[in-house]
Amino acid sequence: MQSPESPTASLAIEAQGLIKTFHDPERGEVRAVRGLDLECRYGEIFGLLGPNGAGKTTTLRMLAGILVPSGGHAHIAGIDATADPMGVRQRIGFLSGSTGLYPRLTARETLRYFGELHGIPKPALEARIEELVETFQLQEFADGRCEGLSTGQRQRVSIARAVVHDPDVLILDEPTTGLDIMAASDMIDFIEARRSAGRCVLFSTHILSEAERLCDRIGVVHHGRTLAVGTLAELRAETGAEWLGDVFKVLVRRAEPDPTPAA
Amino acid sequence: MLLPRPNPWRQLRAILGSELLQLVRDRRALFAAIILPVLLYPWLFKGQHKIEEISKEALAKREVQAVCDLSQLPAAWHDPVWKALQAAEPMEWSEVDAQAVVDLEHSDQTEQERDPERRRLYQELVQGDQALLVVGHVADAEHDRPEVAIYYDIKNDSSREAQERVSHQLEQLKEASITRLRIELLGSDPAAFLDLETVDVASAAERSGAKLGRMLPMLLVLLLISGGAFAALTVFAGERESGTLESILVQPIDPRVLGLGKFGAVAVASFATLLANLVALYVCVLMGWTSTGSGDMEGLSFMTLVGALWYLPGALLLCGLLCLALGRAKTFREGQYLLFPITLLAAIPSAVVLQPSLPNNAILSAIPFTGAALCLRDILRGDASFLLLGIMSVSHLGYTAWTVTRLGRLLDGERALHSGDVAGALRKLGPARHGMRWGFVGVLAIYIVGSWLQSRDPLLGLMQTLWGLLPILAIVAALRARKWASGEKVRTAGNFVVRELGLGPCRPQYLVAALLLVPAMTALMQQYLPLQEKLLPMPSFLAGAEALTRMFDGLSTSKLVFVFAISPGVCEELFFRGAVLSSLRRGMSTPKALFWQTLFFAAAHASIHRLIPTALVGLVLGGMTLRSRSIWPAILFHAAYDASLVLQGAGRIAQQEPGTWHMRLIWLAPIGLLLWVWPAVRAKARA
Repeated sequence: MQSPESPTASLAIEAQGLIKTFHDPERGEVRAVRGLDLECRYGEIFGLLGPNGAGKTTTLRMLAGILVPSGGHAHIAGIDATADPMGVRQRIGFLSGSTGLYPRLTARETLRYFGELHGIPKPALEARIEELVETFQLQEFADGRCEGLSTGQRQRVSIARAVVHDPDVLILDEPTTGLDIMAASDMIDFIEARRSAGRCVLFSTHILSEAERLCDRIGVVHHGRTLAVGTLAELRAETGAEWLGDVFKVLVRRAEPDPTPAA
Repeated sequence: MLLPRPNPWRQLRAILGSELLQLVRDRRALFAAIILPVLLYPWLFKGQHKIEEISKEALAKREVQAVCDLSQLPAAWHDPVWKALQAAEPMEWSEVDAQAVVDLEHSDQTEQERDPERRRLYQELVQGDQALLVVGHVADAEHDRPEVAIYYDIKNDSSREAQERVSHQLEQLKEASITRLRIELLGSDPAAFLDLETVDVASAAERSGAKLGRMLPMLLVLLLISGGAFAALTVFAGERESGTLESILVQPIDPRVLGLGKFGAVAVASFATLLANLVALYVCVLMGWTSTGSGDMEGLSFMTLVGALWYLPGALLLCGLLCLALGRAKTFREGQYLLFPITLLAAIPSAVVLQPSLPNNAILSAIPFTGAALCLRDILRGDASFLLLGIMSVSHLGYTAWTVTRLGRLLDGERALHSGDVAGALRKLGPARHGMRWGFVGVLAIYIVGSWLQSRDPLLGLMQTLWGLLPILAIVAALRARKWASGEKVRTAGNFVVRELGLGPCRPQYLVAALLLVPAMTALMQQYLPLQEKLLPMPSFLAGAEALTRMFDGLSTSKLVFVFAISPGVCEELFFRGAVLSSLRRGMSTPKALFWQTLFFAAAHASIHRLIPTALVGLVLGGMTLRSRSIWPAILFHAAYDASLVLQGAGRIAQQEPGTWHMRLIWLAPIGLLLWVWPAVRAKARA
């Protein structure tokens, strides 16, 4: 899996000084990410914690090779995301909370479609689809069109779709948004299962309890910058606050002595 | 598992397969692409013919009641005329006393005075179910010449039908009497010395081909849009709406491959439409449905219709355009609003086939859609040249390739996701739709209400359209735009309308700058129009425009300037640059807003010959308005430009030709341009 030529291949994700600036016709220059550092290892769940508009989604999209960073660099499994975005996309699974499914394809067809896009050979692909159907218990509805599925069923198909090529790095953008309790708990089980399999999971959230329960390490982001990175215990020690919410407040106050209310 | 780099061809096949599978499962797409084109011809030929036949039959069988007064006819004519009237079956006659009508026709009154009186008498004599009045009298007392007048009412079906029956019988009576009289007087009929016969040497196939050639290119554009648009909407806007765009962009796939795959799906849908349409046409020919009514396509061969598949490059270009335009749409609805302009974009250049005498040439066949339409026409007529077909195919495929490469850029994550701010798009969708809707309403109103007004009285109608219709539309559109301007500082409705229509104060420098550009624009048009004349000759009935010349001659110079320069200047600007452009601008980027208002403005002038000149002027006017934030410069420019064209056209001022003094005025243009650019330069310097 690891590319021997790359000195950073022991890290699943490594980003340094990541910057992203948009030109919005209405708002002018928007600096969504302003120098963000990040390191995630294999067998680790890393949580990117921050309020809405902190630059989490933009960061994840840069790491996934969909957006080109305006500055800094990112390596995924040792591959430079700017120089070889295709290579990066081959190695990651990406899922966002707002992801939809093709309404007129069945679950099996969806998996086959994405498997073919990844270039999985035909016989291996069919075996992989069966494996995923079993793992995510899609048997009952695998041959019905996705438009007829419940939210929880859709979620399971989406997850299966994201890991059809069995990626070593999984990037999840607010994966539990809009899910009911059962579906969210399925998602959490899935994230933990990936860690047990020695894979890296990077996920963004603004839900504190989720981060507290799941993450091996947490990166707190605000206004496009990392304020602190560490295990929950380390963050508590650093800020002297007990609850993650308070930890966050202390970090923000430290970064901006006179915080203005978010617009 | 780490896999080798995916094979792009396999990815392309997967995308195409998946998109087609989804399209086939979509009943609406199937209906638009296959069912509609298949049903069209049977409906067009069989259905329409049936309806015509039924209504004709019903009318022919209908017994019509009519009244007549033959009492004043000379005795020798009374019986033959009465017999002819009775032969016009089925009718029921009753007699009336129509002396008043005869007196009216013999009176000294002018035709204008007689008109209302005649109407009144008709209504008095023809009552209830009766629908015709026939009056026989002596028109020329000196020679004892009889006259039979038939009074009918064109609004009434029965009256029209009865008039035709009676006229036919009386014509026959007249013909027979003339021949009888000649033989009596001369012993033979001198009118029978020359027989006239016309013989069309075109084969039945060529005849039907020529007829189809005038119709099919336009029809195909509409059908392909209806078939391809749904596919393009599903493939692009559908992907955004179902939230799958991000997941597809994060796959290891080149955006160009993705664009090509999606284009391929739309192209297959369009090809299915083309094929279904031609097969349906051939089936109609085989069934003999086309040989009746409005069809008459007998003899159209299978090979001719196979040849019509050569329209494919045109169809592909249309698909490319559809994908490119609808690929930007964030929602189905936003995409639907783009369909009207795309239809115009393809249908207007295709409209050249309505002029059958226009020969195809190398330049025309390379013009998008014009070339494809002319080649299709020539194939159907059986006189296509392989060289021109080749030029058309290569050029159209080239344009298509360009649209497909642009499509790849559209699907790049940077663009697709960053501009994928759906909340922002929805916020802008309102004013954009408002602008498009009102632009469309304005064009339709000018087409329908404007041309109706002008058909009654050209001059008065023009004034009513300009000073009545357009300002009302502009004000209503501006008032209704108020809800989109919630964030802007507005006080009263009046204030808002004034500002929305761009009637606020304007820097004087822009007014001067606008005027300085007029001579150059006029000169440019005079260079351009002869060029266009070579490509698209003006039909003779338009080129002379005698009616227009007569209208020009009848007006004083000041009236001419008011009617044809100041009025369009003020009123068209109020609507197009005032109401439509300001609304479009609120919802779109500047180039887009400029493009659509230009298209609406050009379309409103309803002439393919003036399309490019008006579009160019519209673009300049739009640019001036956006730059100066006021329509006053545009009004001034528009009025001065029209005045200069009209006065030259009417011969009131000399033509602007090289060497004349007003040709030299074009050198004012650089100063004008500088005045337009200067404030921006200064602002930058200050910053």
